[in-house]
Amino acid sequence: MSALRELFTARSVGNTTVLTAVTLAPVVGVGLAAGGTVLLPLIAIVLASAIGTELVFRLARSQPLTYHGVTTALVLVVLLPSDIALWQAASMTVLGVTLGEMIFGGRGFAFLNAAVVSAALIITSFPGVALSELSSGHAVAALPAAVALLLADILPWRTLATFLTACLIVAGTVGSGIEPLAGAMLVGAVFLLCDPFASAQTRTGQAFQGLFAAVIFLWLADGGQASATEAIVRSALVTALFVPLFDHAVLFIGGRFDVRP
Amino acid sequence: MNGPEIMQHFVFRNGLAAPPSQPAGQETEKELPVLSVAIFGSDYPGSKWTVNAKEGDRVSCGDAVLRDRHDHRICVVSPSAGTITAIERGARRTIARVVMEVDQNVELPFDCELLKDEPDSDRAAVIAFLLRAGLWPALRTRPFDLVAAPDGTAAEIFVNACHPTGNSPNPALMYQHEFRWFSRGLEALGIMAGKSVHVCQSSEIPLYEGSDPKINCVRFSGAYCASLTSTHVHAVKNRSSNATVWTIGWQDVLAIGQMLVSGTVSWQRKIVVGGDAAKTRLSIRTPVGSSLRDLSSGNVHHPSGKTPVTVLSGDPIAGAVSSHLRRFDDVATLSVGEVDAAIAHGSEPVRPIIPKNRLLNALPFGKPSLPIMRALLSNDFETAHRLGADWMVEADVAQLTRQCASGADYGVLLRRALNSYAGQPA
Repeated sequence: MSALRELFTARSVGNTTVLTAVTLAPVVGVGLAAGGTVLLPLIAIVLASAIGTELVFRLARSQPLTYHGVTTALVLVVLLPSDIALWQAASMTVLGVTLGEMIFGGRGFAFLNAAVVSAALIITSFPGVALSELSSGHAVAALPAAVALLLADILPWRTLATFLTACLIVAGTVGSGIEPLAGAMLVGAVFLLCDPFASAQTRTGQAFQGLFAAVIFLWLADGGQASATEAIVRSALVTALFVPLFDHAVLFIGGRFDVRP
Repeated sequence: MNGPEIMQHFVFRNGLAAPPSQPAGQETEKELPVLSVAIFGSDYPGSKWTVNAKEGDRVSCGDAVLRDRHDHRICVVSPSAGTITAIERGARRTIARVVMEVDQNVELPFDCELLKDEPDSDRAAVIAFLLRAGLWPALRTRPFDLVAAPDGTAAEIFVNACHPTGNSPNPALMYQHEFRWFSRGLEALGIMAGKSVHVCQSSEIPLYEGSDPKINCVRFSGAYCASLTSTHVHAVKNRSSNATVWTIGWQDVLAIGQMLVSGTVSWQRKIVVGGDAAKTRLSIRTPVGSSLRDLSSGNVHHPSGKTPVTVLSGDPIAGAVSSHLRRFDDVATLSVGEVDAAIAHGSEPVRPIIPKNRLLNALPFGKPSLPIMRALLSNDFETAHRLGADWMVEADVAQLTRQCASGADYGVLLRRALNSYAGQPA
């Protein structure tokens, strides 16, 4: 019981990694249930690539060894299609973890999510490869994760709330229906967009982040005509690149509107 | 702005809640013999001191022990009569600590004759009084939290008369004659202030009921941050002006008033010794800088036998491990367990900040916590300055240190940034 409480206090990056990995398990489970044992080699190669890259950088820098690549690998397992060539998955995982995380110093020091970078690299490098479509089953499996991460206080709820609200309002207004987008929307929001280390550092910045991501996502998803998974990956990547700008605008332009109690 | 019906009231709910009284129950007044007192150089950041005495010298209560190298009028005096047993130096030959063995605790009679040759104007006379009595270093500036310059001016002076925790001495419980001294001290500050003196208090009844129009009582309540001077300055200060303000604690105002009324400079302060490892909550009048070992002797309660007990100078949030009570602390906390060793950011690797939602609201005065933390951690003093860090002090960021997973001591980092802005060596 005390170990569980310690996990939810999220007092270290290691704790957040373990908590995120545990909450990812049901989502991976949905994929395994659908794809069967075909996914096992993919899981093994992506895990080995992500953790191996991290270990190489840590050893080269004489830093303590960490295992944060586990969450990157599990998110990629959810996003990647089961029929992707293993060398493609491995090479892009290595490149994504390196460019998205390790060159900045590792988890917690970067402004990008390594899984987002890896998935985006796969989309752009291998035009024939399409990311897997996330079902409403994935969405249901992501709900406990959202609750757990909110309880641990590490999920930027303003980003999540504005993103989901904007998506629901626009989908309701346009009448395109939210069901085809639900899986990608929820899994992407919880594990890609709302990465605490790649999110805005200000309250207003987080709201802008969610709103901006929703606009990009809905535009790219085109009401379910295009791949919703690819849309959320591209949306999360573009948003993460703009997040420092949002924060800067809030701090140095919006700061003058700071109100007294 | 006097009278409870028109007293401004600010409520702040950001950050950590104010720690309650520990242990619960009635406070016990007690007299404890103090065998050792100390003066810390780091209690006066930005000042460079020369020591007026050497080890083995006997000093009387009120003798100048440290004197400012740049302005010889500013001095730190001995809070008690005794013998100097140690003069410890820190980095760059700064004075880390002067330790004295206490002979006797006597109040210092202040000789008003000394001031016969002072200028006639009121303001100059008050400043001369404070400088001669050694009370001047109690006045601090914002921004930078440095000792105020005697030749400088401040439009506004903020008196912190809040009791931030359940264990802090409550100024509303002063005796009748102490209220008179306190009012006199406020009026003396009013002479020095260009515009107003703000008495920032927790109690509902104004602590000043005189007729000086410059003196303005303001009530603050809510979370721990409501009792911090930075919060008071942020809430009350004229925002259109970036002019320097001065700040002072209520017990120092009391001492100023006592000096002006009775001609006696008191270095005794009311402090409370408590905490989760204390048997009882003791209210003690003791010299400034008293030994924490002396103050806690016989009052330590080990809840589970071998658990270590840490003695902090200050409250459980902003307090620091120390041998003696720090100059501006009025609480000693006996805490179960060892305090996390914070990394005094240097060559040690720092863990990343986990940007929890509660950290976004940790600072009360509209200051963005996470960007300030990141700027301090990466030694980006320019960004920290643009974000308003120069109006903050170590106590403001103490709760960030407590809540952040990075292990960094933001107080140390902030002081480094403040020294950099103020042109002091980092």
